[in-house]
Amino acid sequence: MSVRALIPPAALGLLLLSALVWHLGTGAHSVPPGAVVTALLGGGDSYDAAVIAEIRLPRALGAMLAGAALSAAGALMQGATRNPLAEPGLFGLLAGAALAVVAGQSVFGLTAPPLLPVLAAVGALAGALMVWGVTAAAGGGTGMLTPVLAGAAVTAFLAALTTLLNLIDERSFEDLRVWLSGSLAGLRLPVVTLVAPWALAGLAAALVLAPKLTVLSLGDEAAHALGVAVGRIRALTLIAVVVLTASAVALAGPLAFVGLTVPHAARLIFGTGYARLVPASIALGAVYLLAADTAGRTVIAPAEVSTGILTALVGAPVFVLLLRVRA
Amino acid sequence: MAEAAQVTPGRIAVRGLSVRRGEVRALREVDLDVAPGAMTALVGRNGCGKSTLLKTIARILRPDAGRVEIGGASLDDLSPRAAAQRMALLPQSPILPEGMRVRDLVAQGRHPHRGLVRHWSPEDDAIIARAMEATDVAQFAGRPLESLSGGQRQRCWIAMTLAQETPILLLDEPTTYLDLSVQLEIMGLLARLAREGRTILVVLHELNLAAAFADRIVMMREGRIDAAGTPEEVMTAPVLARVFGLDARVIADPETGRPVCLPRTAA
Repeated sequence: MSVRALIPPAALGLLLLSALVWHLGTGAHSVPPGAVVTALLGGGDSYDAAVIAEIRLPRALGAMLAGAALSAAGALMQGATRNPLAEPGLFGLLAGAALAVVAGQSVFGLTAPPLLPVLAAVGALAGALMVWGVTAAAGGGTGMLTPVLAGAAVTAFLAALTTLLNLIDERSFEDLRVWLSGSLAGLRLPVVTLVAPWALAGLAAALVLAPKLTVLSLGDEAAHALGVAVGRIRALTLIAVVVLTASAVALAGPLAFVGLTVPHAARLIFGTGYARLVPASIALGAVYLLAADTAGRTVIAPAEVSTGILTALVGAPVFVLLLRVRA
Repeated sequence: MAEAAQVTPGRIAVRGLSVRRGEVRALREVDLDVAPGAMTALVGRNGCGKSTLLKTIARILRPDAGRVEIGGASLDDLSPRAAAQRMALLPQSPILPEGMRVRDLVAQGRHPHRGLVRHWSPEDDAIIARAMEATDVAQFAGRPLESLSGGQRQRCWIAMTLAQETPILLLDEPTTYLDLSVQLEIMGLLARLAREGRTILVVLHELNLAAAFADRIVMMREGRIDAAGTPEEVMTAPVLARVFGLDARVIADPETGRPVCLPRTAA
């Protein structure tokens, strides 16, 4: 491997580290970057260290995992569907996961933390299958806007059900209201350690699937002739996407447009090959959510803007731009 | 030699192959032996089954009956990867991923030779470089595909199939939508690859192109093989009338001696 090939991963690593230190230092009690590093290494002021280790580090880890997971999921979906607009939010997975979590907790009393990613996964899969079903029923296999329209319809339907459940059970609505807007506030280490294996398994699967997706981008026939079991790779990709989406939702609620914004930004820098695009999206996704979460805690401090609101504010113009360029 | 029954890796044998596409019987008990190390052209009218036959050999379509053997092994016994190490395909309209560079496309040909463990090697780089040399696209290596002309792009796709290093190369109408001079250039390239020992099976729309370049021509009609042989053997007025419904004369090219089909156009 040449030295030049090491520059992009080194730059991404540095970027990630800076975003992490910035995130950990920001808040009601601000900690300068040097002290953050000292605290991370186990030294320095004990109050700084306590704030960082107990309150901010779980939140930062959650932001990194959720951002990486949603970005990887978006890149995988764009590769498997050959649709540049594919991402967990637009294709109904986030709405499905959110409804499943709300229904599971308020209707069926499934509030045990280990069930959270399971509920989210069931919901994400159901949402994806509904969008796929509506797209197939519309007979529009090739148009890239048909699944987006199906996703909008399915999302509206599922979100209505979520709102209905919240109106019936107002007590849990208070707890879930912030979570439903996509927020990392109050994230504690037990939840992070619970979800991390899911997220890491999904990310590992994404890295393994990535080179197959490049082959798939040449069309099903060409991919088949290059030895890719097209159907099996699509099924495995769906499973990975569901697991990734579920772990992000379990950590931070439904975060809109992350799976669209980050892979397309990564494409501008790293090109179209998925073997590079997927790892780059994972790293950039972690950076993106760290930055969004830090900004969300800064702009109207001491109050917070939910991370999901910021990702939507950034992501919607990206979506419009993509429509202009690609559709 | 003791191994009289030794199998050639480039041999394709089709036995009793039947394929339905919806309600249509696209292939009806087709038997075919494709000559190894030569170019065979599959021709016929639209819907005669020539593309279906190619796609079934390429394992994109599954037969309802019969079997295909390549290099003596039944396709049913080969994994997708093992099949892709023996046979490459250039589909009729492959997708051109936006922004992909020529070299990255050609590199995809190495995919069936890579595993989870076995990664990139200098040998792969050498094979990719050779494939680009052979198709004369090395000078475009760093350029995005969409910046090239149709013929240049087609040569890049052929380079990708060459990087697959298979004894068999299947092509589905590789000259469609190209200018005549570019069609000749692509066919000349395929003829050279066949002379170098590859088995080439190519679906063609243009009869005279098949007659000018192919070693053998297989003519299909209504899901069956109607005639097969050298261009001289099958390019005859009665066969053309039967297979294509064409009222044509056949003359010999004064320079190459190859048959040329001249449809009667006088009112």
